[in-house]
Amino acid sequence: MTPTFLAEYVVPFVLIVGIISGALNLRSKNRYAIFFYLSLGFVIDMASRFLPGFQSNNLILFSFLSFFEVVIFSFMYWEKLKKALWLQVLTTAGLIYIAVEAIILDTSDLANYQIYARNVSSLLIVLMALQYIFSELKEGSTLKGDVLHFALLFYFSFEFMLLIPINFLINASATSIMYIWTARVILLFIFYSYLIYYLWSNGKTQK
Amino acid sequence: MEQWKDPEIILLWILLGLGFLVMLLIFIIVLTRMIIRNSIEAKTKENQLKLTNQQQLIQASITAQEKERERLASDIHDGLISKLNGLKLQAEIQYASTAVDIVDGLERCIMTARRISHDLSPPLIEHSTLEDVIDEVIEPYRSTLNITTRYGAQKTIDYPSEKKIQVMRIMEEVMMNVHKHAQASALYLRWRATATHSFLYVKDNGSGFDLPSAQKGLGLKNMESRAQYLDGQVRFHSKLNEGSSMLLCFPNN
Repeated sequence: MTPTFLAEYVVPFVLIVGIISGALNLRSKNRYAIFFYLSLGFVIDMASRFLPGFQSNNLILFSFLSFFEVVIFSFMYWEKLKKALWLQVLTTAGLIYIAVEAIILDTSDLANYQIYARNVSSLLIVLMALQYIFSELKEGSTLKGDVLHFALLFYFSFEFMLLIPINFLINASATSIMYIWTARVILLFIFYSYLIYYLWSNGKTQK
Repeated sequence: MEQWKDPEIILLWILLGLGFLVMLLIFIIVLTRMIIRNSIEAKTKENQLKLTNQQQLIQASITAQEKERERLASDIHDGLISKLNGLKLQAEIQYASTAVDIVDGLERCIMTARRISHDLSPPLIEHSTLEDVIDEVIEPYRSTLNITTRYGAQKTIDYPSEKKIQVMRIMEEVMMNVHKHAQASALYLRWRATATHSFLYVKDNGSGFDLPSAQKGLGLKNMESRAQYLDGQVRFHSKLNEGSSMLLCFPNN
């Protein structure tokens, strides 16, 4: 299975499976959020295929994805977020930054295309997950079996690190960046698979 | 020039990546410490709960045992002994001269039944002091053992009957071990009660025993269970051919 095949066919298929299994078991806030997140992933995936037909490229979708990711995970972590003023301020500032960057950035100038929206959104989600984990631990929980937040923490940490040099990832020669994009696709595939497993297993135990 | 070729941009990326890594590392260290601490606390709580449950089970079992003993003692006293007394009286009236052996036999049966009944549930225990209860247990052994007793209490403590019974059962077990296994010639017994705790120390000059293998036996386990019932602790000390000792300690209330 080549990375291209994985990205073009397997990931959208996995997303559809996730959306269906999420739609069948919408019972908690976490599951709503995961369902919306997978739906957003699917919409972005489809849009990235069709957008180049209307525009020169699909890079604007990075900003869209980042913005809605933060919105979705703010919704998921709302109970913890409303108790942490510093995180509320950071989230608001982050959303404003992503929106402003999307407006002012010229996506047609590939040589100078460098956005930090993905880093901002990843960092905010990592902070939300950490805030959740810390507050749970302070309440005496051992977080046994609570893998979702750790999965988000690790995925978005990698995402943050991988997408810092986005200008390099877009402009460098294909052979030098192939490994990084392959790693990202595999990571994305594993992450989506885990989210589907989360939706499916929770649905199974709650029945 | 593309941005990724600009050294300043590269430096910014490196700083961003390093900063994030350091932040993550610090968080992970703190998180790990908290998770370990919470796990230890949860485990300790679970163990304490198990111990409490175990103690409650032991207490319930001992209480049930004592109730059953009381019931048996009462049945023997009110049922069997009364009937034997009736039979003895009848035999004395009807066959006074011819059935002397039968009357003597019945008398012995009555004595035996009364002893069993008293052993099962000592009469008037609620009105006896703990010293009296201990004395009653060691009295039968005075003819074969040189027993030295020392009693001392800082103040008069009115122990509930359940506590007195448990101390009595422990003493019975100790005396039986000394008599059956230790081949001792002397026994030292010290009873002391402070304002908050009571202590019982018994030491013999017998053959002693191997503590690890004896601790697997029912006798010592029973004593430990009864000590737990008293919310107290019991400790044994023994060396082969150097005698053995037992120390029981429990809170007064």
